Amino acid sequence: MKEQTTQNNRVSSDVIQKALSAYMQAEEANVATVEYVGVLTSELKTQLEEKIVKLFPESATLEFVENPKLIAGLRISFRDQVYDDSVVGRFGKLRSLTVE
Amino acid sequence: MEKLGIDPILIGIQVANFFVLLFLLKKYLYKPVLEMLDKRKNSVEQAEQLRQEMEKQKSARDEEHKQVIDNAKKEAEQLLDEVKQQGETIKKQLQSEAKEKAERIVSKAEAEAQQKEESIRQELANEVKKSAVESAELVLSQQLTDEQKQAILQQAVQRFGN
Repeated sequence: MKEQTTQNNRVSSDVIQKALSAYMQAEEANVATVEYVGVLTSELKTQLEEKIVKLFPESATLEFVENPKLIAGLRISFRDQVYDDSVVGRFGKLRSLTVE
Repeated sequence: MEKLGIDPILIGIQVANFFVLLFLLKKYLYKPVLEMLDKRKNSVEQAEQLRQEMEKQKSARDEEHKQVIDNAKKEAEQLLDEVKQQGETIKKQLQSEAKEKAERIVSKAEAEAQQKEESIRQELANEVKKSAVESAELVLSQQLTDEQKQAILQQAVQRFGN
């Protein structure tokens, strides 16, 4: 009887963990990440939020991360889509275009 | 006649004796000798005919032999000519094939060399371009001021979604 109760508790714990993990994944999937270099003023932030919501209506939350590796500009990632308008991204495109 | 010492009887006997002797000689000596001579003559003639026949046969055989040898020589010469011709043809064919093969090898080697050269040139060009881009990236990362970075950010925000 006791063993049965312990086993049931373990199963419930597994189910909760799986559900939590699925929820977290779903949450992460709806996050649009904005990487940038410089000062993101409230005006620029508002402009970006409006445009992102317009382009990706399913995105629930926005995450802003300063990334000096970009050198300058910004990069927006949502699920498997990436909009790259950074200097590093431009050099990357230039590299792929010039190198045959 | 007696005064001259001639005895007619003796002469008559001697004449008769002569004719008897002549008869005997003719019967027992001349005839066999003549027959023997005839036989001898015939034998010589036969021998001569035989010799001539044999001579003819020998001549014919010699001629035939010569003909056979001549034919054999001609055939041998023809065969030799044919063999020479075939040898020449094979030689030319082999030379031609060898030449073609050599040309193909040279052509292939040239093509490979050209391809390799092109590949190396391309790799070099890529390296130069890559190096140039990396240098430009490095220089830009070190030279951009904060104001310039801010201006770039603003432009990027403006461009986004347009």
